[in-house]
Amino acid sequence: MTQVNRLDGGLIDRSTPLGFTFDGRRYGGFAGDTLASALVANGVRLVGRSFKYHRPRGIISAGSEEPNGLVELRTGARREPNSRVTMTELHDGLVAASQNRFPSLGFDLMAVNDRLSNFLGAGFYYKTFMWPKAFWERVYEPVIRRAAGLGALSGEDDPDVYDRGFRHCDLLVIGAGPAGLSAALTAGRAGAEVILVDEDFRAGGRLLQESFGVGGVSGADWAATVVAELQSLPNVRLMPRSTAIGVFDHGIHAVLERTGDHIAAPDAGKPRQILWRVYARRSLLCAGATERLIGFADNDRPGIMQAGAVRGYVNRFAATPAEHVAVFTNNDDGHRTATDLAAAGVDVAAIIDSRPDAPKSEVAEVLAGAVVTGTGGRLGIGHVDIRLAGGGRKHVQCGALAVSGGWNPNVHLTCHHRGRPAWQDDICAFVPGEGVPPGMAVAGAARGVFSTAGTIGDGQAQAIAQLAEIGIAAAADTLPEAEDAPVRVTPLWHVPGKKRAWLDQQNDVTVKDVKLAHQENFRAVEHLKRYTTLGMAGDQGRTSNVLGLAIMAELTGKSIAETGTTIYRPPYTPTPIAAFAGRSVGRDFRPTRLTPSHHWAAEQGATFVEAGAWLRAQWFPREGETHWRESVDREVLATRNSVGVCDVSTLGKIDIQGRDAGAFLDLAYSNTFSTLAVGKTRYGLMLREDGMVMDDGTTARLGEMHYVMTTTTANAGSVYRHLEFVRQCLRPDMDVQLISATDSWAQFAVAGPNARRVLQELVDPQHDISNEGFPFMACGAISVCGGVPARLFRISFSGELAYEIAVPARYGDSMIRALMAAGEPWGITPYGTEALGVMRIEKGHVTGNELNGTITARNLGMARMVSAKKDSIGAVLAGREALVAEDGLCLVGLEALDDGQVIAGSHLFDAEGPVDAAHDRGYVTSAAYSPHIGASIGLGFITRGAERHGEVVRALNPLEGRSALVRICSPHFIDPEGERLRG
Amino acid sequence: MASLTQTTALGGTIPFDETIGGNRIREVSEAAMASLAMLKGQGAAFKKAAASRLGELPAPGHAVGHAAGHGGGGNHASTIWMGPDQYLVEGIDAATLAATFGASAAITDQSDAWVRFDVTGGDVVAMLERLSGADTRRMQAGSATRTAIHHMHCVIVCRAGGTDFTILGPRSSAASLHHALVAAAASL
Amino acid sequence: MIIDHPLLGPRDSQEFVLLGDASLLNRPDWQAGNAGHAFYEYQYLRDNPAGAHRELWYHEMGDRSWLIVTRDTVTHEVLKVELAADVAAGMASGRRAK
Repeated sequence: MTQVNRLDGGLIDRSTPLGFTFDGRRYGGFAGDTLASALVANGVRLVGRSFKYHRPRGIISAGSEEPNGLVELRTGARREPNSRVTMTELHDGLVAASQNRFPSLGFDLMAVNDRLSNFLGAGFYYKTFMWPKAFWERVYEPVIRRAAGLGALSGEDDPDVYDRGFRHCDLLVIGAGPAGLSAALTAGRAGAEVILVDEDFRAGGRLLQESFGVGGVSGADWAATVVAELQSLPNVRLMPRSTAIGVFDHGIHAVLERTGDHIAAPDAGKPRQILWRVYARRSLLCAGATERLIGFADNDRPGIMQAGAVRGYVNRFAATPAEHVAVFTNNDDGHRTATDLAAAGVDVAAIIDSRPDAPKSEVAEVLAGAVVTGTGGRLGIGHVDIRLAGGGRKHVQCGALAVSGGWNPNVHLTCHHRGRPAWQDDICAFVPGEGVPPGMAVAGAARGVFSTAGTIGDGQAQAIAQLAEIGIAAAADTLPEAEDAPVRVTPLWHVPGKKRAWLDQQNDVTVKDVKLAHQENFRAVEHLKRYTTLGMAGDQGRTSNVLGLAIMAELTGKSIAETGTTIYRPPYTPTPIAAFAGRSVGRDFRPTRLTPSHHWAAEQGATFVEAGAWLRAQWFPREGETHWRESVDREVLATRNSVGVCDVSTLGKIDIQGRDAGAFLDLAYSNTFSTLAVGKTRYGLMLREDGMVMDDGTTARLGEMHYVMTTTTANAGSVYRHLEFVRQCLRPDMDVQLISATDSWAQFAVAGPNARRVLQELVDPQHDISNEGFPFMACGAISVCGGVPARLFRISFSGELAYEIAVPARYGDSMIRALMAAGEPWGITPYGTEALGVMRIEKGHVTGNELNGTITARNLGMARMVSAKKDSIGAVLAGREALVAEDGLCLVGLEALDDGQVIAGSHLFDAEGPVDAAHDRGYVTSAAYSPHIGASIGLGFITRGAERHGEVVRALNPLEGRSALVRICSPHFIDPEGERLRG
Repeated sequence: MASLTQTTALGGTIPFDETIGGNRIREVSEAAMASLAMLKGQGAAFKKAAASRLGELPAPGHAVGHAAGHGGGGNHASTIWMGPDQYLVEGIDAATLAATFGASAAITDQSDAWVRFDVTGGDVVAMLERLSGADTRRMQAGSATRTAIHHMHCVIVCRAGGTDFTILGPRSSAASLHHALVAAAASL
Repeated sequence: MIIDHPLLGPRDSQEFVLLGDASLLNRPDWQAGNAGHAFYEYQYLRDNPAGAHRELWYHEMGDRSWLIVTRDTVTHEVLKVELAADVAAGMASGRRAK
């Protein structure tokens, strides 16, 4: 396991050797390596095959912008495709596999695509796959799907846990390079609450990759000293392995922390990643810069890398990409790579500097004014072809080529509010321009200040300015000495030539594609991007954007400033969707609300249904029952014949108190409640301001200034919100207070001819609940079971003699058991939401099915419930012409003929005649099998319904090709005179 | 005649009490709670009643401890600011409050509206910052805020900065809130 | 987005529910002669400014106050935050004064 390209020195920990596997072969590395640096140290140049052309590819960077080194990490359910090798911390036993190749990286059959490149240029899919039409779905799509993409998902559920988190600070410093460390130190010493984030596992940024000293010590040592001081300050929080992925309004930032990706697997219950919402009063972007390459023929061979990355591997990771390395540069920075290579004992094969006035080098001959015109080598670079200043040709053997085209400040986060970067000629780069998110400032290389001294000073100065804005005074401590070289760059975007030159290596976009876009008139940068897909890959154009638009600028004859640039969106780097979900996965997607009798119902083996956030018992199957209809029919018959009990705790309950409680209800309800006697309940209709029915329920008057309103389960929250709107925004003068009481009470409906008998077993004897003492629609505070406070309401949803009995929720479980025990002599039957639904349909009570937002009181046959004598929400607009038309919809009952089935959602048409929109007479809103009637019944709306009882019409379901004949009748199938209710 | 027994918000007879990592999560089910809302034009009478029974009334974002009341088992008993002219009183039952405040306030028993978890330990904030956007790091004894925890409407009361908090959540969501707290404690 | 609650200080807008234009405070008189038309305008007609906009927000995950937030719909800057009850009470006493 010798690491052939390992050097001495570096920041790795040789006392901790690690083993890993790539494409089935075992290699060695050390703690402090990334997977990328370990591959480089082991001489592995070929790491992938490109997206479209399946060309051999190698690592080009040492950072999060890496477009080629994308591998599948891990195995089994935790396998993750498209993981960047440069951002993968090495740990013992790491398993990685290359992607997008068959059968192997070295021999990939799909490389045939490269020979078809003339047909596969930018936008080729707009011009192909058109004929024959029959092939679209059956041939082209399956083939394209198989060929598309890079890595593959495991196909299994993600077993990892992801957390969300929330943090607050005065100053969020994004990036822990020299600028960020300097800023955090300044702010930390000033006592501000500081959070310092960096995507790397070790602070220092470029200092770790350069050989400069700072304040007389190595850059890495200086960074470590600063980190130590920051760690000692309680007001500073350091977050390594954390990427600021987005900037949102008012200082809200998203930071993705990778807490479990650098180890084999997180411990049980520990998150793999945490997505933090950071509330920052101010932020300072110190995100550094990304090096550009240069376009030239075959510039994508494995071994061609950013010059800064090459010396990064040498200085930080003690790894050289090859024994012989050439350098191609248009600026002074590229020369540093040559110097650092030589210092590490690596041969510098040549320094090719495109500038005629290139400086001399001490470590190798400089070919001034020369350019690289091509490269050669199988599965990796073997030599470069050079055209010298005079026109002569030269051929240099090398195993790696370090390319420096200049540096692009990482302005991305400044664009997240549609900020537009501005072109700065002297450094040939875009810097933050207008529209930087309010509260954010930028320091260091991220705004084009590139020297070490410059970044350290800028970080301090910007931090002081940011803190001053929020009233915190910070001191400008003495700055350490560091290099302060100026930027000297002469633009060279590409070397013109016939062969393809790559710009965006991840999406396989070449200079030829930019020319094609120009030719086809997709010249604006936004069109260039989308037509060629330049910059639309995982790095969002960090390695390709500026080159592409600079070439477009050349073609159009405009300046780069005039051409402009596309901007960037969150997330800054690829982020798993699971991180956004956090814990809201599966059953935990949203909170579950359980009724007080839930555990008892589960003991009975009830089947549950989700009703919004609630779980409600749907039916209670008995031994031997094999189909839900058996259970539901039994529950309905048992209730109507004797007595049944149902948990109705989920309905909203709103406690309303105050001198104006009655007047308040008069405004909120269409009918009148100030006239309701104490000890009585009344059905109320609540309209929206546009006249549509919003909700209904019964409201009880428990005292002079005390009402309790019920709402439907689904609308409890929205009705409460609406009532607070009326109270605070429309009638702040009214003396009324509201509070939700939904969870406080366990409430059970007890219904059927024997309901009173059951309750008399439990209600304390001093309370008279006889028919005379507690008539239909009575209510009151009582006590049960020897003094437990309770409330009793004589209301009926089922149409039977019925009550609702409420006890404080802590007694709910005990209460249902007591009701069941008390009701045993009469065969009391628990019933669920299905039986509840059947019975209310039989009785003709409306629910949310009927109150669908387009239905008025008049449609329900309840026009008289909208009082004309008082103001109420919705009354005026309910009187609009179209809503009071003679032929409006009217609520009716429907009974299926000939063993047919009424299906909710069906539309109603005359028995004979056309079936089209013009002849659509109405629709079915609710349907159920009625064991009482022995047929399928339903409720619905039909024009002129009140006049059409007895008529037979068609109920059609064209989507499923079904139809039924139904007879229109009264919606009250059971006990229309209400005798059972009042007995 | 049958007699009724009580269950905790989580549906058991014994309140939940477990220490996970460095944090103890304890369900408190025996504390009375009542909502207290001033009625219009009753400011003077309300303040007088409050002074006699509760001492100082809390400002927005705060809770004030009061000596009286059946906190039960040494539980904290405070008056918590819930909204304009609205308070949640711990440790005093609604009937006692009604007797004190009379017609100056709307009083509603809330003992069964909430599930209450008291969380104590070395670094409760590390756990709470996985749950809510409230700035729990800055909260000191007497800070109280209404906020969301995993889409549940909750109240966070700080009893001692950094180490002692009460979390109230809707009783019907007790199991979901419990799960969220336990998972957060275990994830540290 | 952060809303600076007049009583509670800065709060995440995720704690709130947005209703819409604050003109909803100006509910017409049901007994006025043109009540039908007035309610129609009240319910349906909206200016839709690119710029400062007064909106009603409900602090559902907080103190259940309704707030009037004056917000720039282009820049998202929050210019002013008031308790709706105070504004509504002020409007009502203004009407009574007339």
